[in-house]
Amino acid sequence: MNISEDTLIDYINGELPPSEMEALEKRLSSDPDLRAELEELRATTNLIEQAFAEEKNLVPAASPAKTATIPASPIRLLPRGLRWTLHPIMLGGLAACVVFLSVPVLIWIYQNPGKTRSTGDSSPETQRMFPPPPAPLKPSADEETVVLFDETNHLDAMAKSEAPAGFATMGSPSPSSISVLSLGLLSAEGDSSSSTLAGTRINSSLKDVGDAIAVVTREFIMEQENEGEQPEFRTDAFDSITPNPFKRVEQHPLSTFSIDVDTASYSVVREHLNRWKFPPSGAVRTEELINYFPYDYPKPESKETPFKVIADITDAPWQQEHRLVRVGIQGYEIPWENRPASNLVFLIDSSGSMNGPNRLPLVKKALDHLITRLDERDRVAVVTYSGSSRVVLPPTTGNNRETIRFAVNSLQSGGSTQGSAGILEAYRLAKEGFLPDGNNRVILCTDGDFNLGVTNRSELVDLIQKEAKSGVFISIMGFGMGNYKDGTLEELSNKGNGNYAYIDTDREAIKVFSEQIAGTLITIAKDVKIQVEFNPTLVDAYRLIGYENRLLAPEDFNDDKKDAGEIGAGARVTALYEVIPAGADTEAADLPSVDPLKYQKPAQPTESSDELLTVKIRYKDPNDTKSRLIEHPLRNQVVPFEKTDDNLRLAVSAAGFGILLRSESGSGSLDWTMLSEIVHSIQSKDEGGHRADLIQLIEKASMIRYNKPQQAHD
Amino acid sequence: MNHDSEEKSSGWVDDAVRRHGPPLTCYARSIVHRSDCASDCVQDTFIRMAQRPRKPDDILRPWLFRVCRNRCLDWLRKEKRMKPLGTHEAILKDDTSTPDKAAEVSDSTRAVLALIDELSPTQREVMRLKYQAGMSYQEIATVTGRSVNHIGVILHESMQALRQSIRRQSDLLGAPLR
Repeated sequence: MNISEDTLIDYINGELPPSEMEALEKRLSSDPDLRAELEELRATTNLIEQAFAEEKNLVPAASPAKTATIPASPIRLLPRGLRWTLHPIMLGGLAACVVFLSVPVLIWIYQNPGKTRSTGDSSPETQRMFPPPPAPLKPSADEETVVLFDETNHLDAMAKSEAPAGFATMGSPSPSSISVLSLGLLSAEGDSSSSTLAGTRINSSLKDVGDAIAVVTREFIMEQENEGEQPEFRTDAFDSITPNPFKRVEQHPLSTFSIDVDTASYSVVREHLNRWKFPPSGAVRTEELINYFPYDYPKPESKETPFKVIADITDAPWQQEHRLVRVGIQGYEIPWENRPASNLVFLIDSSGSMNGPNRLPLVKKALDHLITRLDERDRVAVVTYSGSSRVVLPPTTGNNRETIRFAVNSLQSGGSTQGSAGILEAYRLAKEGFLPDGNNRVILCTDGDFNLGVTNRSELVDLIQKEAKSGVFISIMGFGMGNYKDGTLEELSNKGNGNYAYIDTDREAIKVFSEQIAGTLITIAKDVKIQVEFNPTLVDAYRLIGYENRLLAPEDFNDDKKDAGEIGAGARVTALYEVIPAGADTEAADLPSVDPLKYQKPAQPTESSDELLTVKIRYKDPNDTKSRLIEHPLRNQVVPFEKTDDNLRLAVSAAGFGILLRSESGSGSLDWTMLSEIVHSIQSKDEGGHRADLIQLIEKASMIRYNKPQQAHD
Repeated sequence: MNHDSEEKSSGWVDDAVRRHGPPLTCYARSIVHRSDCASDCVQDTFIRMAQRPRKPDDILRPWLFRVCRNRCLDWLRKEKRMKPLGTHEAILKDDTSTPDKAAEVSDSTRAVLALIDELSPTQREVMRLKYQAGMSYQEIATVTGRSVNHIGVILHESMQALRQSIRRQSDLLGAPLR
């Protein structure tokens, strides 16, 4: 038996008779080719369904011009004590219904245009908007009298050809043309239900109609109010995050994680709050909020030890008895003038989704900041991709700024997104011009939606992991929100020896490509891992704030094959632990417990020490495969929170911001007011205005949270 | 009219508008190509629905689409007559989608919608009723006044045409950028 594509289509559509369905399903279970064909058809069907579902976003619900030009007077005609403002776009429908109900009324109005005009809206704009009333109105065909059209009468023909003679007198008036009339009628009558004009006929049906209108109006008002906040039509994708719980030191003496210098999450949060939306909790990576800020840490003296480690301990402001431990790492700063030569490939997504002011045009502006900083040492190539990839500019020396700018500015958005082809092309170019002692890097600017070629996330990750082995680093710059794939981009940057920023404004572009350009472009160490060993005599339990998707197993620390984060020149990394000292009340922490072991004794503390913990850092030089180790113990000398330095308080503010944005429980008395107090207590100079920015965002977030409690659990 | 029946009647009307409103609006738009008129036609349809006794659900949906379709076709005929007055351009200009809303639509959606646009009007209409409104062949047959078998054939042909163009798509969209 040969099974046709048509049968499969009917099967997907659920239209196959039961007997045929059974036969087909039997066949499917034994025929992989047929299954594959079915899957392909299903995929196509899904594509079509998705396209139709999203179509709504391409056309707004109402014409703005109409909304703007007709002042809608509040009209009460609705039952149930509801008072709805009749939206102008409703008037057409209302008018139409009046036509069906009571033809004589409308004819009366039409015969007395002067009267309706005088009571209705008569601004010149309104009159310009609407054509004069058409020839005498007649009731339109009702569904009982409707003619069903056959093929020969199909829709386009209807639109283009002369109207068939039979319809000429049947057509309903143009909705917009009778809007004027209905406005006149309604203004004249107000909410009086005992209309002398309309008589008893309209009177008796008005309630039914009012009902329907109430409903339809409510729909439209809701649609207007909810413009842009219908989650089902936004396709931004964020991975979910479960906050790290407290862990008992006796069971987990080691805490191991990979560093993360990315800052994307902070800009993503800002982008949401600036639209007065609470960010989805998956978009809030607390460590990225903490690491967004340029803390002023002591700098390493020489290139040989590329890090300086600091660690200190203070009271947790939100929980009595708890402490906060800060671990800070400052990378060696290479003055931009003394940097190694760079081999850069700009890989720019110019697909249709990059259309819009915060997308491709912002990419051009952002790269312009970078181009300004390059010189004859550097080489730049530009690759773009949409439906396919294309080299816009072959490798060119960095001092040809005009040429590079021209190439970038010539890009236009359109088409689909074959990201994988672009990635391969960019890495190919980077490898061709590989500088053994230099900085080889692909800079990818995209919204993260890869919908052609390799579209599967895990395959993309494999692809970029393979390419990263060549020694080419990647910087991923996210742009645009609406169909943003944060999870994909974050993972690609993690696995591809990369860093990741989200650029929402020109200000952010300046931070990434100008203020911190060395940190963005020049890697001073790779596979940087942190392991903290806690002293069980002094610490009962701890939790790492943030870094949820960067956690490593304790044994990964010494395993040089395990990939971890990179750190750029002059960059800094901060991690905060909330610590419960030995003997403190652990009730608030909701600590899980295990039964005592039957066959062995718990490990005994070796010797009494006043060290609270030891921070160990492993890293590799960018071109090395063997890791090096730095150790840094922290003695148990608690600084009261009021006396801590501004850097620490800023880091705590950022952490608290993340905790509150994610509505995490278990952080004691932390609330927006406390957070605001902490951040306002910082006195030092606010270089770059980043702290002012944070204060503003905290205010916005608390306002949204307090005003709209239903959005609290986004 | 007493209060109870009012309460009851508005309940089902509310429900019907919520469920069928969005697909009906998209459908109407695809016929009249103007948002405001599409909304008018859809509201018109619901008002008619509310004026009549409540229908069982399986009858209601095709009925709504059929009435809406006729409202739209009426409007098109009307518009044909109105055109010489030359007042529509001003309105049409304002009828484009806003850039930031439109930018949220994914590439694949744009591409697929463009490909669907290349189908014949009949094919487009049937595809829409099937994959946007989620109707059965029988329901589509009722709305469009065709036989159930005919609907099947139209869908098969449309799918075939669409799949071919989707396969061609990378070439189509991969033309060099200016």
